[in-house]
Amino acid sequence: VDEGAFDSWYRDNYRRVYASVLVVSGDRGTTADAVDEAFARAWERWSRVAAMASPVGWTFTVARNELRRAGRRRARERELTASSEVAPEIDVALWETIRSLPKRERELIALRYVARLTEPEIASTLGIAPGTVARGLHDARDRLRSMLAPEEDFA
Amino acid sequence: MIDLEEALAPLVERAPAPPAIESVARRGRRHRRRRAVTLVGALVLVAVVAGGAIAAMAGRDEPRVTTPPGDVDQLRVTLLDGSQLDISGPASLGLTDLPLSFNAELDLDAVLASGHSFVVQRTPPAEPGPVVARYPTADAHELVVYRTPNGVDAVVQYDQWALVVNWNHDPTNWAAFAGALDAQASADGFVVLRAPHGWRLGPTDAPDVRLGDYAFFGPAHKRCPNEVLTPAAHCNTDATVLSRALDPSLAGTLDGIKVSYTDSDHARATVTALDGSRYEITAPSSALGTLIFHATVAIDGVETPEPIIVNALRVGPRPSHPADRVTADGHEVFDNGSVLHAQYGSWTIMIGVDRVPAAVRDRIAELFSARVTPEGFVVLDPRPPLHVVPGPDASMDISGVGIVTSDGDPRVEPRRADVHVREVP
Repeated sequence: VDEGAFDSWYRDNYRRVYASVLVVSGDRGTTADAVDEAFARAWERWSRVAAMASPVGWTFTVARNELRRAGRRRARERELTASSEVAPEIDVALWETIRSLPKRERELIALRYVARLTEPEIASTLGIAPGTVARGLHDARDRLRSMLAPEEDFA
Repeated sequence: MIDLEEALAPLVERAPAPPAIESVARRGRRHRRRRAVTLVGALVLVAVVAGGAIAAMAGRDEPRVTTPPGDVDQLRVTLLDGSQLDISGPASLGLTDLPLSFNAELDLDAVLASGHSFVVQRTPPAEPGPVVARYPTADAHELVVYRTPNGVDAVVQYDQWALVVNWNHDPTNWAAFAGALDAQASADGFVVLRAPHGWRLGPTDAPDVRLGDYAFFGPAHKRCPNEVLTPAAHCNTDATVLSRALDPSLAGTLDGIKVSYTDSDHARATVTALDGSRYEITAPSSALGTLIFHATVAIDGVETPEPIIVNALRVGPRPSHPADRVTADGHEVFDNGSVLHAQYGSWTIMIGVDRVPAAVRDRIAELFSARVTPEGFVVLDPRPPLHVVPGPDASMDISGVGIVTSDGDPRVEPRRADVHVREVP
């Protein structure tokens, strides 16, 4: 492992990946576990991961799969959707609205606006066509607008 | 306008600091060790199983086919009812070189006794005798009846394919049978028959497709999963097709032959992509209901935060606010902050302009132009310096299935056995 290159990439992207996964999972504890695990896997395979189109996208996917594998995510999501216990660092109404989006749209919002991946990178990360990404983001923004502020547009 | 990136930024800024790199490395090393142990275990298991299999096979005299790893032949055939089989197998079997024939029966719906079964093959019957009669078919071909030493043969020649009737030679039925024959060539060059009202196209006892000494029976035979399977008869993974080795010595090769079935409800559509290239898509009819095209455009000398992707879809969202701009060809453009919308015929054009400065959006709009083809598709015709960029983002979607068109032969992603695409010259 090229420790220097990994270290620098890790420090630059840890928070971004963490925040993206948090948008999907809604729970800090499981997010931290999954993200730490994903970065450990990235370390283990760094020479291959570094050559990927989007190492951040890959790490996000590993973390998301880790949540699923652990079997905790779904229960947490239900719990959070119902109780909204998380006090996020962002506008509560926006957080609640994002949390109420369908899972795929939440992932798209997380990857586009938190991880800041491009649409082709998101397509490659999620294994879907670029058009599906564009359409999904458009639908998600529409949904957010209609729920939060019908007169507002989202960029 | 709410900037989502900005609104969500505190999530990143206030996320916990990354744990020390040493803990990540320690965890990574642990994974690596565990993976190494698993790999060694798997190799040992493979060696034991392979060794056992080799020892067992060495004791037999049965013929075996050796297969160079990774060398696979694939072919797709269209059956007489328009359904399709995708057949693949080791190249050593030479599947693509084997002779093909198809069997079916065309029958008056209520009078089974008058059914005519026939085979469609590339070679016409050898040395037909003198012509006894000729009958016009519904598709403007001719059913020619020959006298042969064994009775009569009735043949219709469809280009390279000969339809040869092999059952029911009752001459009183020839005219009605010929009048019911309505064939057309499939896009891939096979014969597809349509049964007229009151007639039924169905299977016979013979396989739907015969490929050399392999026979394939589709779902209409209802042989899978009920038939008792033998080494010479296999059902495919979704139990739609029974494959049979007609030569018992080929039974051992059936394992390597994979078959998938697509029913005749699929539809073919020839579409024109945004760059003007044309494709024939074969897919379930329902999947062709949604069609979205994508292309990437750029302005020479203008850098944007990311590629500008143009999406075209029918029945797109119609913005309610007034138009902000006008395209080079006079179409109204609506800007919602992240997408420029314009309407061309039944197509909504959506140009992704996230984080693109307003001045560049203005420029994109004023240089944008497109035309609607006589078939009703839209083709981009931007004014320089705006141009279509050839690249990996040229693609289309049908109901969530992506078709990448910019990277050699068009390909379906994720791969689906029931969706096929080819470029039309």
